[in-house]
Amino acid sequence: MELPLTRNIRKGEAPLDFAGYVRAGGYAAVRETLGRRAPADVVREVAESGLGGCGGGGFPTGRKWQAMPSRAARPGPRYFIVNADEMEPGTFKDRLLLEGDPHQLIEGIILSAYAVEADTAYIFVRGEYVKAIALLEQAVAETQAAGLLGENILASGFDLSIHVHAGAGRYICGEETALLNSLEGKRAIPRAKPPLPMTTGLWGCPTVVNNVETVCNIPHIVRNGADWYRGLGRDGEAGTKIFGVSGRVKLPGAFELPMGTPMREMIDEHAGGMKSGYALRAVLPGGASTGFIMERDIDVKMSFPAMAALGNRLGTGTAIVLDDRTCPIGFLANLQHFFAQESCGWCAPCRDGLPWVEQTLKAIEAGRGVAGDLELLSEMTENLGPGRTFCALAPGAMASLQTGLAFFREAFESHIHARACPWN
Amino acid sequence: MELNIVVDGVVVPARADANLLETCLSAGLDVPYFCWHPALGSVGSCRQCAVKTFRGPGDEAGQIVMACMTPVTAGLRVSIADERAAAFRESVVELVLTNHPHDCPVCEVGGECHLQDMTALTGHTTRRDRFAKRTHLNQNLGPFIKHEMNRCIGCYRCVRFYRDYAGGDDFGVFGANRQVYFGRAADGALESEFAGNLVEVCPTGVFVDKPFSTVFRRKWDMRSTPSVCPHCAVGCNITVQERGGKFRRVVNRYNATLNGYFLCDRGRFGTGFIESERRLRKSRNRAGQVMSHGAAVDALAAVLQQERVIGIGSPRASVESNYALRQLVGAANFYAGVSDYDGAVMDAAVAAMRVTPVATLQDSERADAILLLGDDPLPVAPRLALALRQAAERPPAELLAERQIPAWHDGAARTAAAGRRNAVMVVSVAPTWLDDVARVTVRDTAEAVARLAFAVADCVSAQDGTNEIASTLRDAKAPVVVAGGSAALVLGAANIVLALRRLGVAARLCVLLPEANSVGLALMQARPLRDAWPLIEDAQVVVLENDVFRRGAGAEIAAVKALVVLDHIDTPAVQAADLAIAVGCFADTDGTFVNMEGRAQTFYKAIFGKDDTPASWAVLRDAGIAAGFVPADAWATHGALLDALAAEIPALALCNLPPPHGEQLPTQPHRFSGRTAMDAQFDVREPAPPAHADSPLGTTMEGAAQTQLAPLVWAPGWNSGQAVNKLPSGAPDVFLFENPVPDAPFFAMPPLPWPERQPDRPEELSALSSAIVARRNA
Repeated sequence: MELPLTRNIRKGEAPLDFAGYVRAGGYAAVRETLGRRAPADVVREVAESGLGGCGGGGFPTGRKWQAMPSRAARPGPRYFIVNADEMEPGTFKDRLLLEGDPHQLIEGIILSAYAVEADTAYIFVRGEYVKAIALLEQAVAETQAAGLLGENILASGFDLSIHVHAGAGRYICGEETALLNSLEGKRAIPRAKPPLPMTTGLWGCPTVVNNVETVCNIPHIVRNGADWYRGLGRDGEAGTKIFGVSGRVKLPGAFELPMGTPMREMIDEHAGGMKSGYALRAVLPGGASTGFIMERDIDVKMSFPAMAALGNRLGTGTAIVLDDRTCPIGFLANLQHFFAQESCGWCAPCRDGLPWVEQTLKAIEAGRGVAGDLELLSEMTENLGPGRTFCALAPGAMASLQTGLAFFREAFESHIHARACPWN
Repeated sequence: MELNIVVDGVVVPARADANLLETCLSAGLDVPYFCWHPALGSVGSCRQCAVKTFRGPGDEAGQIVMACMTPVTAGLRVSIADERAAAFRESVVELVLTNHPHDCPVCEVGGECHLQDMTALTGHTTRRDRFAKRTHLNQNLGPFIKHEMNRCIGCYRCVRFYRDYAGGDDFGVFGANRQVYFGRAADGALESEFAGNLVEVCPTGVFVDKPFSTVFRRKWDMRSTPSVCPHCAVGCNITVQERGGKFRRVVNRYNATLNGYFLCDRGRFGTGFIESERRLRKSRNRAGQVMSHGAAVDALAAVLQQERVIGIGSPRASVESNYALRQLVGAANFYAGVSDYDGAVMDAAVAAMRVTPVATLQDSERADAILLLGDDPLPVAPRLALALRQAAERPPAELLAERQIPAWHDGAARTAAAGRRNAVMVVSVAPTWLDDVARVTVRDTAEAVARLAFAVADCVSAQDGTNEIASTLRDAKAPVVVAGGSAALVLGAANIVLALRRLGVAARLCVLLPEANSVGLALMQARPLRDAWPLIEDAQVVVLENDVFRRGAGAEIAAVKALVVLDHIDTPAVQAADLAIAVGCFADTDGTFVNMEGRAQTFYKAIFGKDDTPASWAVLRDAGIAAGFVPADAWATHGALLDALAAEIPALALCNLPPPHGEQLPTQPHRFSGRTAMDAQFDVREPAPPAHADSPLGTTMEGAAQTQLAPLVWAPGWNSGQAVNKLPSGAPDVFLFENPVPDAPFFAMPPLPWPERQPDRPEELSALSSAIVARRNA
């Protein structure tokens, strides 16, 4: 099994520096590409690879890049931005890549920026990732010193500078347009789409925003080709993915697996199965913004289409396991607390609806639920759902609530009737 | 482009450049909304205006969209009534009300609250939320605005108006989630000259008119009268509200081509002068003894009968009053009550406006290039300054067309513009309010600025590509040249406009003038004041609503035989007068001002008090009749006086156009509160309505429905001022300069030496308002 994303990552060891990364074959793709392959050719290769956005959306990366207007149509600055603002609850896959192999990301940025003809790149990295920030700054400096950043790189006529920007700590900055506002020094609130960032992005200029993991895939696709990448997946899926498991499993963590690996295999083999005394009840497959998958469905493949077929989303691919000894209402209340707190305050349903949801769930858990609460929560899942709010934050928050209301109906009702939490 | 859409099965006319919300409201349909504002555009934050649209004939499911964010296309099928959409709209109101305090009984906005209206529209009646509300501390925002943050429903209109529209930076939004807070970094008076608009921009009672709240009455308990702001030459349309003969507040009166939705703070809060201690309510003689009105008229008649009577007019008095004085003393003895310097500027302005197209405020706001010459418009004509800021900040039309972003899509348009602005070029003596948005700023002496104006005109004519200002104007489609400060400068600006017109550029001129009726007075053909000084020894001087000491008068005044001053405020001139006659002000009389665009606008008696005094023109008429100078039936009504004025001074004839409606308009509101008499707390019997035959407005609640003159807007279910968005705009205004002269010759530069300018003084009426005084001291 070939695992390109983590091939340089050794647990407990410092990441490779520039020289070490080059010795491991790093930056070969840059040398083979800059000035030697047309940018459009790189875009085509990525489009054919089937790579989807790893930030949670799964939108085909190649198509995103193709939406950039040509340089001739839109002269002036163009930006390539790495979304490293990893704040999804239960998600720590980008951190593994940032801390484990920073040069892989830098190489991916150089190739991606070359493909979309951007001359400035920003890495918008979560402020709490202090170790990653230091490693990235060092990696940028080393690469610059080696002549792979700056003006006319490798005499290709291609210029690129990379800036590491530490975020100030808002979940909403993971939303690409809120990220752009924040990067511009404005309030971190999402922008209306359309226009998409590809036409009207950072400071109004053409801009691509890609997730860390997405960008880390680029050197391997460029080096080895789309067919090779497609062949990495299982069961017709393309590539590998950093998956992860948290909760009461024996070996919580993040690990690279072929796209399409069954969830049960991921939990039982790679995460070591449930801790003794705990039984798996349900799983949020890809962070807090995805819906529950019940135990009966965990043979599902970890892939974007397979999850969609279940009415769910793969999200970030880092699963949170709910066990039988944790109150599902408390679990949901805790998630909703996060979303209510991280609502940017821009649109009314999210800003004023999520706190109501949180308070209602907490009241139910504390035995203070009343008749009508479930009906209210159910209404909220529609009124804070897709198409109703300004961005995807509240609809993401509603995914777990909606499935939770369906799957844990009995638990909700027993809380309300018994006026107490049966788990206490 | 006109097209049709189908809303709930009914064909509704639409414009391609309007969004779906605006389209529905204009068609009289009810779609609730909060964050949208016609002047601020759409941002899609409140999610209140959800409707369902259908993709094609076969689409039965449809999808819920925000009407404010949806462009209209021919044949678009829409449902407002759709059950899911209606349920969602109700839920949005329910959600924003979770933190709203329901303090309507003690809220100044209760009864004219957009939030109340929208709540009723959605049908939301029952509160389900049982948890604690979030609460905030309020801030002291100064003497104009009271802050009640707990009422906030987070529509973001305040911050969008204050920062994005009005360019303020001391007010903003803080925090996130349900804790978002709209205020200042610390307590303190709001610095923007347009802060008062927050009162009308806010859909509920977060920002309250503080002076009004001390004399508060419900909207339905006040008489509301259409009026014209007297505090500068812009002449914004306002509504004056009173109850029991006491002034209560000024609110904006929408006029699409003038002030639109916004006023400046001087206009909104300056009108307090009519209740100031220095209001002159009684006539008096030299010894300070109070005289009856009849005795004062008789005394004036006696003065008029003397030899050598000189009249000094005023740019803050109405056309009618200036005309009455001019007729009584004779045109040869009628002098403009302004300094010679200002008089020269006014004469140059009139000369220029007669040959060049004049820019309305809307023209300036929509201009794609502005050249500002001379004075900072902010202190002179604040509302114009705000319009010029829009001209700069409006995202360039070509850019939006290229990105396929509609102009109403404020968020996207601002993102796309990314700070790119239309060309505003400032050439001035001192820093101006527009410097931060200007593409070019030039600082020089007054003389150099005027010379530069003439030079730019020459460069335009010569098609000289080396002058950036000239090239920018020439490349623009609808540039406006704004000038104020000296006669030479005004003429130079006019030359630029003339030169551009000759090249086929649709340029317009805007002249900054200081006072409400500067243009009206300039059209009176009054003699310059300096010509009066040698003649005033042993003359009888009648001064109309004017503190002549502000106009260059000095010790020579002591030599007059008799000084008569008619005024409504107690000025140094009134104190020096042998006979001071109390007259009415704009709020308690009828009259006409001609604004800086040459727009003739009539104001009507709005306040009916117990000790009201007549307008100056009525006092002068009565004295003229008593003196035997005018026939006993002369100027019996306001209309009759305007007839005489039109016959005598053709330049002002258009002031006499009939008001744009046929029937009498009511000024008293309907008695929604179920009371019988308006003063039922004193006497349950209905008092006789005040008689005021002169005005086309009635003094009762009887009368015709809405027209442009409608003092306060109401629409079924819409009790707040935002009902204006559901009503058609009214008849066109009257412009006195409507026929620019094609190929008019250029103006010659006035010969040197140019006169020295006196330092400007603050506008004298608003300076007496207690709110303005408090703000100055804040």
